Amino acid sequence: MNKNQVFVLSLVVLLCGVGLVAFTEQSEVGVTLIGSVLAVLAGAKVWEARAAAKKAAPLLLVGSLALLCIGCAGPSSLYVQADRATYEAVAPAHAAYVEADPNLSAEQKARRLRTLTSWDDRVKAAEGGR
Amino acid sequence: MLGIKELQDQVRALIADPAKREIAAVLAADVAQLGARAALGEDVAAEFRECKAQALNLAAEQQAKVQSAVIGWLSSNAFRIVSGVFTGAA
Repeated sequence: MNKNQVFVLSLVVLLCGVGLVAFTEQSEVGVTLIGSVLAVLAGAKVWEARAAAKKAAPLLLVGSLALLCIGCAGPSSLYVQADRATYEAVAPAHAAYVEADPNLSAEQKARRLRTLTSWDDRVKAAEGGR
Repeated sequence: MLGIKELQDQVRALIADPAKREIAAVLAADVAQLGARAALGEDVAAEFRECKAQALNLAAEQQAKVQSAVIGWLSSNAFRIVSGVFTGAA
């Protein structure tokens, strides 16, 4: 892989990082962005230090892709555990309150219970994804 | 007029995950119906908050599909109603 390819790949990684920052809220985008910036800086260095290109290129590529994967990994396991614990603490009591509330119509009760179900589904999806 | 069932069928066809298909279809119908009630002046802010939470609990790609289906359904109905009133075409 020549230095031009390394530079272009680093730039692509940077753009991916910026894209994640713009379009993703759950991912650890900070890691991705920092990784991408480092990759580009490294790419620029490789561009300058032509002699080192052959040795640096594979390391740079692997490092950039690894950082990108970390950035795409979604919420951390601690976040998911906290979300699950909060769900377990709040959802049963809230469901009981909703079902017993005489001021809510059947439609309103069903809507609130669907919100709890969708919360549980999201946490399950996050738990299954790790 | 396109009925709410058509909207739900559209959403069901768009959502690949069977576990999320029904909640997405119900959500789409809910948003469309609440939108109509809001247009008539009813305060449905609390109900919209529930819908928002449900929508955010879907995956981003599913959210986009539901959103697009509801917007398409509302636009299509609005066009039919307005053109029917003003031109008698629909």
